[in-house]
Order: sequence, then C-alpha cells, then structure tokens
Amino acid sequence: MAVKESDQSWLLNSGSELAKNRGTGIIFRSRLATVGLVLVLIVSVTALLAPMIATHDPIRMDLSQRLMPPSRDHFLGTDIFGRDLFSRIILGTRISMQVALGAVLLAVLIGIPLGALSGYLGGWPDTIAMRLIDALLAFPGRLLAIALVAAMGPNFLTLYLAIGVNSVPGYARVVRGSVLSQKGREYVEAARMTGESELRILFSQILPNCMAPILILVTLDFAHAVLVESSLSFLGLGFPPPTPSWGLILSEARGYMEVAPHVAILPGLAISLTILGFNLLGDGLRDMFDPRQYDN
Amino acid sequence: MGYYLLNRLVQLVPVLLVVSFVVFFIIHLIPGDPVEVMLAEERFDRAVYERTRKEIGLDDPILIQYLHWLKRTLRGDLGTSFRTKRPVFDMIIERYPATIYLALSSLVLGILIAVPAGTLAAVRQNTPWDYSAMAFALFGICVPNFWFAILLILGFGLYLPLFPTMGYADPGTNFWAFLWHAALPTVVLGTDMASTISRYVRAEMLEQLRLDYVRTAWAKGLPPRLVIYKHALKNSLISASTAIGLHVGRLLGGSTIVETIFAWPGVARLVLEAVYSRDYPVLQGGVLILAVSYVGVNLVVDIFYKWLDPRIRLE
Repeated sequence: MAVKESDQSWLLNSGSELAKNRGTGIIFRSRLATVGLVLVLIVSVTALLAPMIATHDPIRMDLSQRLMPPSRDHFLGTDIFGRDLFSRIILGTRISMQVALGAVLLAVLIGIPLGALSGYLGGWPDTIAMRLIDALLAFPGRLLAIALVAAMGPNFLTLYLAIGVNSVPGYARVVRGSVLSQKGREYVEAARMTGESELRILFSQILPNCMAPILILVTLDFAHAVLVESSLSFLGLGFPPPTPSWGLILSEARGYMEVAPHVAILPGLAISLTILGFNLLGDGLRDMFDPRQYDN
Repeated sequence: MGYYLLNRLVQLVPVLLVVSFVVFFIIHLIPGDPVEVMLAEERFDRAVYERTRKEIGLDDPILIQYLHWLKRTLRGDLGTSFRTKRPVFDMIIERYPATIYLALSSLVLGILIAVPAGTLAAVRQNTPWDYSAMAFALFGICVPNFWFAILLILGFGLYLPLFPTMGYADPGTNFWAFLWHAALPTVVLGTDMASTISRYVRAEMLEQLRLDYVRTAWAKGLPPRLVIYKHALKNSLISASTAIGLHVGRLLGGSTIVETIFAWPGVARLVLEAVYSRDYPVLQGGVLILAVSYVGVNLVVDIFYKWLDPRIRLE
C-alpha cells in the first residue's frame, strides 16, 4: 500500500484512548515480527551454510538404515531409502530459498520498471501495461505455474518464471501507485529544474521513496514462493528425485506414512515455519511503515 | 447498472484473449519438437506424426496458428485427448461438477468459520479471543494445503479412521455419502479460505465499528446485538464479499493439490493427470476452462458487489 501524506491523518487524531487500546496490539505485533525476523534469519543462514550443517550426504542411500527413528546418528531419522532426513531437510532449505530468491528477483526486475514507467509516463503506455497486469491477475496463479512447468520442464529458470510471473502485478501496481503519488511533489520539480533526465529522476529520485511497500511485498512474496515451490515439487513438477526438495520429501513420505509419520510431518513443519517467518516479518514491516494499520 | 455491466463485459475481452493466448502458447514452450514430445508415449508412426503436426498447424506463423486454435475453441472444440482418444470437452464436462461441489462445500465451511471468527476478533479486539482467532488465521496461511491434508489423513484416516481419505460420491444420488467423502478435502480448503476471509472480516469490522453511524447506534442505546450484527457486520460483509468471491474463483481455478491428494475426480486433477501423461490437448483444455471459470466468477462477484452496495452503483 502506498504511504501517502494525505493518509497520515492518524498522526493528528490518534486520541489517547485509541492509542492506549493500540498499545497492547503494537507490543504483541512487534514481538511477533521479532519471531518472524529470527525465523527468517535461521532459514537464511541454514540455506547459506547448508552443506556445512548437514551431517550426511542427502542423496546417499543406505538400505540397511531404512525408516530409522530419530537417533544420535540420524537426528531426525531416515527415509525409506535410508537417507538422512535431517540432512535432506537442511539441503531442502537451500533449494527452497534459491527458487524463492530467483522468483522474487524476477518479479521485482519486471514489475518495478513496468509499474514505474507506467505510472510516470501515463497515457497509452500506462493503459496497455495496466490491461496486461489485469489479464495476468485474471489468471489463476497456481494453475499457470503448473502449466508452465509442465511444458518447459523443471529447472531453476522455469521455476523462477512460473512462480515469479504471478507476483509481477503486485510490484507493478504498488510502484505505479507510489510513483503517481510522488511525481507531482516539489522535490521532483526541483530535480527537473536542475536538469536531471527524466529516467534519472524516476529511478534515483522517485523510486527510493517507494521502497517501503516494495520491501513489504518482497517479504510476503518470499513466503508465497516457498509455498508454490513446495506445492509444485509435491505434485512431482519440481526438481526430480533424489533432489532433497521439501515438497518432494513430503510427497515420497506419503507412501509409507503409517509406518514412519515423522518423515511426512517434519518437512511440512520446515515449510510452515519458513512461511510463518516471512509472513510475520512482512506484517511487522507493514505495521512499521504504515502505522495506520496497527489495528487491522 | 446497465452501462457498468456493458463496460465490465467489454473489459473482459482483452483479459480472455490474453488468457487464451497463454493457454495456446503452452505447447510452444515444450522444448524441442512439440509433436515428438506429445507423441512420446506412442510408438513412432510417421502418419500419426504428420497428422498431428498438421492438426496443430505448427508450420503456420504463430498468429495464424492462434487464430485457428481460437476459432476451434470458440466452437467448443478443444481437440481430442491423446490418451483416451475422446473429445477433451466431454472429459472436462464430466469432471466439472465434482470441482464445483467441492468449491461450494468449502465455501460454506469457510464462511461459517470466517464470519464468526472475524467478528469476534474485532468486537473483542486485543483479547485472547482476538489472538486465538488471528492465530488460527495465521495457521491457515502458513500451513500448506498438502501438509494439512496429510496431517488430516494421518489423524482421521489412519489413527482415528472416521472419514474416507479418497473417493467421491455424487451429491445428487447420495448427499450424505458426498458429505462424508468431502469432509476432509472440505476442511482443508475451507480452513484455507477461512484464514484469509476472517482477517478480512476482522479488519472491515474494526473499520465499521469506528464509524459515526455505529457511534450513533450506541448513543441511541441500541442493544449490542443490534449494533454489531445488524449494523456493523452487515456493512462489513459487503466489503468482505469481494474477498470471498476472489477465493471462490481460486477454488474453481483449481485446487489441484487437494483434488490430487484425496483422489477427487475434478477438473484440476484431470489437468494434473494430463501433465503426467503429456496429454497436451487435455492440459490446454483443462487450464482454459479453469481459467475462464476463474475470470467468470470474478466478474459475477464484481457485479454482485455493485448490486449489493448502492453507493458504488451511483458512482
């Protein structure tokens, strides 16, 4: 959401009673945001150092060690092929984050220039861009991802595209809205008078002022990307076995979950906690940048 | 209203064109020779190869191919399945009711959870009621459908076998059997829906409760029941209806995962089966129908919303 000056009436009329009422909410929220930040940090560090944290080779099978319960040698037990579940989940973090990072980056790189130019230029480029965005929004995202991966085959680039394309409208709209609200401001006029080129004004003067909503979107989109990637790999449309992708580990575990439910439960927990972390952090950032929404 | 309707329908045309182009373009994204990939399951037969290639018209310029495809599609001809050799349209129509029934039952459950939870959270803001309702919402948002489905299957299919974990019964012939089979998938999709909608209802309620007309209602000495339910909730639900509608669109637009896990014979599962067997006509047809349903539901919701809220109608 664009943080417009006119919207900041909360600054003026936040009565003391309302503020008191909000107090507990803020504390509760910021505590949750801290939890979110910690979770995101844990996941990120795990993804970065995955090979160092893993205790076993995640794809090495050992049929003598099939479906072992958690033990000192295998922290989280083993799967049907005797592969170490802990190492698979740790390495899965890296895959998940890698896909999410690529997808979000792709959405940002397409969405931001699209929205910025659209809002700045106005007129027919704006109309065309927004109609395209509408059409993209009109497409059920998960289905589009499935169709794209089904046709192009699973590789990093396809997954970035299949997951990221769905997030493009979000960035384009937010940035367009922000640019529209900023482009009439005095500082833009001032920059123009100093003879800066229009593109430079747009990207080095206006865009930095739209960073808050973008940052919020990026955080929430990470959660979304992790969810879609794991869904795709659960359906067998992500990386092929024996890749230690969270969705795939879960999907494989379905076949023997009566005997080893932990193999189905633990990767799901990893996915949920990751999504939770990014969501809490995103909500927290929103509260920080747009305090009007504390109560909502 | 007439003008609005017309305007909205005209806006729909470019959207549907883009959607159809994307669906059409799917087979052009297949790396290599699409026909070879499509026929990979069959023994190579030059005649079949040539016929398929001609059928798709791969030698024409892409725009011409698209126009041909669009013309066929508009006549309801979605091609023939490679696998079953049956018309794709018929295959989809057979599967469509199951998808709709599941969407409806999930919608009912979703609303039954979301509206009371959202209202309670707003009325008792910043109390344990509020926190538990929002914790529930967070649970729904963070727990992927497939994992929740697996947990339910473990819980209510294996350890405490109360519900069937797969299969389907037609609600027309045996409604109770349908409900029994639909229980677990409905809980998954309904919870997913309720988590988003309850946040929405809560936010809208908080907004309404702060408005002047509610203050007036309190000042008049109306009982809380009337102020909250008759005044505030009614208005909140008008706004929440958009969010609900969007979600229905999502439900119709393919709950692939849930249909797959619970072996629910809907269109979304048909699409996935087509993906596995590289049955591209079925894939294209299924995605097209689901996407058009999604667009259609969104349109209906928009119109309904305008009808529901006269303030917007006047604008």
